[in-house]
Amino acid sequence: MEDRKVVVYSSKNDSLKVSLRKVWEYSALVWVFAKRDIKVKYAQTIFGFGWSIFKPLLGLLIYVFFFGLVLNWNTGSIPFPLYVLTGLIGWNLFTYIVSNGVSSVQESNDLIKKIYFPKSILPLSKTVVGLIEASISFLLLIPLLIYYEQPIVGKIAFFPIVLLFNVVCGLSLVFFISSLAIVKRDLLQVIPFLLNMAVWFTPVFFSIDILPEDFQFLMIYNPIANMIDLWRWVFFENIAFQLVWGVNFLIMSLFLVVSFYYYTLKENKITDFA
Amino acid sequence: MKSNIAIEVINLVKTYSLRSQSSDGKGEFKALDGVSFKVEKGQSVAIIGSNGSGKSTLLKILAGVTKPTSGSVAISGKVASILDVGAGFHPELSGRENILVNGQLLGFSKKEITPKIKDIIDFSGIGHFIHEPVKNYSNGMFLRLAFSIVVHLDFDVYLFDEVLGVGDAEFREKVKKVFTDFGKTIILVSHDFNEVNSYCRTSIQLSKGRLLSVKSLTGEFSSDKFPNINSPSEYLIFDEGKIYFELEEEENTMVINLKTVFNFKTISEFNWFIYLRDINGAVITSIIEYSKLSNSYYIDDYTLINRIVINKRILRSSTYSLSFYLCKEGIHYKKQLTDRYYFTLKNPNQSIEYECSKCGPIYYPNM
Repeated sequence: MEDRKVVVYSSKNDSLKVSLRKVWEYSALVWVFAKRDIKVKYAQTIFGFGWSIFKPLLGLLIYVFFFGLVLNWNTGSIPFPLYVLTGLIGWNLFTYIVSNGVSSVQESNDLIKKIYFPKSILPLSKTVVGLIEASISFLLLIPLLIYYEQPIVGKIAFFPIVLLFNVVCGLSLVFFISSLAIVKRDLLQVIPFLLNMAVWFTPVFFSIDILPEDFQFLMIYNPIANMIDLWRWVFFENIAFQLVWGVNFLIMSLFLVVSFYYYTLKENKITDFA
Repeated sequence: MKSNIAIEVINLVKTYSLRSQSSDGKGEFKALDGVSFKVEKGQSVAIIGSNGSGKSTLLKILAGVTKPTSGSVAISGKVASILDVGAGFHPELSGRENILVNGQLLGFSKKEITPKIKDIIDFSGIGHFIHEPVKNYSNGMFLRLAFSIVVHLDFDVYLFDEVLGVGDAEFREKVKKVFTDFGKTIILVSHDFNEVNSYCRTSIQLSKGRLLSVKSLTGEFSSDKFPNINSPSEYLIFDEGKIYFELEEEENTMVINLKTVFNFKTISEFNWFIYLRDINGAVITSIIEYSKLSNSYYIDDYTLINRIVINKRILRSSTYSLSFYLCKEGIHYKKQLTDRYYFTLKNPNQSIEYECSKCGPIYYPNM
């Protein structure tokens, strides 16, 4: 019974190292929350996990019909449904992390006022749920890849890095927005609206080529657009790697570290304003 | 920190910023203002004080839920912060699933919890309902499950915020037994003096965010001090005066003799409101003593004598408490006197035949 661990609470802020260690110590909770979310999400449904396939499938059908068949947008060598689906999975994962990550703290208001754990656990667990949902979407993508007779390319080995890029983009925004929205919550109102807008500045269901040249820079400097491009790069031949993707990845990773640290500095205020 | 110290609180200050300006023109509110104390391992401490004295804020800081503005807290060992019963329970998950989720939230690994699940379910008495979603549980089932989890996991320090009074008398007794047998460090916030008395040996009184006193409860509240009903005259002091009382045991009845001595002559019209409670705090009977009734009389302008008779048929051999409320301006204004008097009844005569059709078990004889 002796030599029990001593916890000290004071007004001092934790260093980045200590904050990371605490997240590690409580990392089991990431899975606990994620599992709980998934169980709860499909509680009392007949199709259960089926809904994770139906939803992107419906979206896909609508986009393919309007943009592929009606408007006949050109996506080069990649069949339109595949082009849309790869973009959609990446985009959905990103928006899932951002919208659920930002609201995760408020969602658990009651809990964080009663039990201590690092608040960054909450968006992290939402990320895990997002990744699981994304992997379910692959049950849709794989048959489609086979149907269009797409060869498996060696680049697929880089797929984990693409996912990482995706998560980095999502989480860095979550930590940044959350730390700004602790006391005044106006930003939270803007998020859904911004995400709806942003899809038009990201090549999810159209190719960058259909934009007028003067506006193409919007895509080049948009890290999310770069991330979506990278998604397609790992799945399809004939796409050349662009250095700007790597640069964007590095910038976003740095942004993640900074916004995470900023978040840990502000974290203590959360329960006082929750 | 010394090895025998479980909790060390040093000069703790917590300030909340207000949305509106407070009366003194500052936009902030000091919930805690320089509180320091130590708690030894295995000690159980009650934090008492009126509403807004900073009890819950102190507990929140101890639980790590909120950060102090200045000062520090050091806690050794695993802390169970039970600021609310069933915090972290998800209504859609089954009782069993919630045991795992809740246990992990409280800092235990799945491996540590799994072998205890059976004990937890047995203790809670929920039975096969454990596979049902918690949202369909009755209040009592919910509380019992939540407490069973806390009771069975191996914490070093327990923080309770007015949550021990859950469940029925039987379950409360079960919980109490576990904690008093374990000898764990307990910090308890409560308004219930009976609860405080049965769990804790030390009290820390807060007032407006400051530490008012640290008292040992042993002897002061304990029933051991009053082993017999024929104890010498005891008294309580309240703002307006002093009350002496004496218990007399007669064959069929127990008599409480009250002598109230007021500081001022002005108080002539008032009522005593007296609760007789069992050891769990359940009210057995309430007694109203009107100063103008015939069973009370004034010795002089300051002194009043009351004689209250209780039929022993409603009592068994156990420890009881009497709490006194001073009522002025009718019975709607009640002021509880701070202390509570305990007595133990050793050999109540069960085979008494007593009838009082008018008043039930309690009556007021003429003096």
